[in-house]
Amino acid sequence: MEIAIVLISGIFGALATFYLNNQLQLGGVMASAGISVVAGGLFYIFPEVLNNYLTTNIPMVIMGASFIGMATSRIIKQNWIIGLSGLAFSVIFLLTGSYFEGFGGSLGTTAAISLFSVYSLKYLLSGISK
Amino acid sequence: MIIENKPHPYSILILFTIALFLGLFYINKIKPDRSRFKKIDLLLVLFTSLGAAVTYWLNIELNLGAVLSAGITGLLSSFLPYINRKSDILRELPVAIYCGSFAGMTAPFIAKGYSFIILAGLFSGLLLIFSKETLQGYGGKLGTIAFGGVLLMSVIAFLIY
Repeated sequence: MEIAIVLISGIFGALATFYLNNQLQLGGVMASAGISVVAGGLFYIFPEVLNNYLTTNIPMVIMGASFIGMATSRIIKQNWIIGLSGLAFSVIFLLTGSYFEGFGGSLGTTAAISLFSVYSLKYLLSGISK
Repeated sequence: MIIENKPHPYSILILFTIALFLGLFYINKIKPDRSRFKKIDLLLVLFTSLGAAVTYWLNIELNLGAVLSAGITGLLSSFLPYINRKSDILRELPVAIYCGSFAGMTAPFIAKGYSFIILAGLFSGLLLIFSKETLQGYGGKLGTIAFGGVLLMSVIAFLIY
């Protein structure tokens, strides 16, 4: 159950930020920071709603995945790339969570790895369709 | 963590596949950077460091947690362009401050003080202006830059102490 919530949080963080960034034209920084403040703020105000693991990690997953949504729709035109990258982010987070624990920027690096690896699927798919 | 550190061949397979795709992306997308530097870029470096220091202060002194601290710093900085919509520098400042705020998320057991964070922010700012034209519009770029700045500072701190 905890794994499912982490996976869904990653997809939600990425897609929600991408929507705010590109559809509502808020810009990447405001979209990502806004999502992070809401996610971090909710668990800061209500720390007892979910268990300790989820209270600690859900804000981090949502914020990390929100960096994926900072991509512009001029470059990433397909929403599925963003959603799948959010899922990939959660998977990498679950598998490698504490290796760089405490280092600033590790969430962003994971986000970049997720997005770039999923984006490269496009090359494979276009190669197959030819 | 739930899955990591458990001996599971699937974990290695998943991470190996992601690494392969990442390699494919770099082969197809990475081109040499042709950034042009302006004097005003130095201001971006300073504001990256400021973003890092403010985030670290919110996190440590006010005990808000890393996510909320970076979020507040980034959200406040995102309103700066509204002061003067025609100003180029005000438009670029939120990106620099938000990049710095990721460096400021560093935990105190690694940073051990404001000097580490301020210098990590400066290094992140330098990396930011050096890589202005690289991977523009892709998500995760700012965090990766901040990670580079923090790692660089960690290596320096490790060599000095």
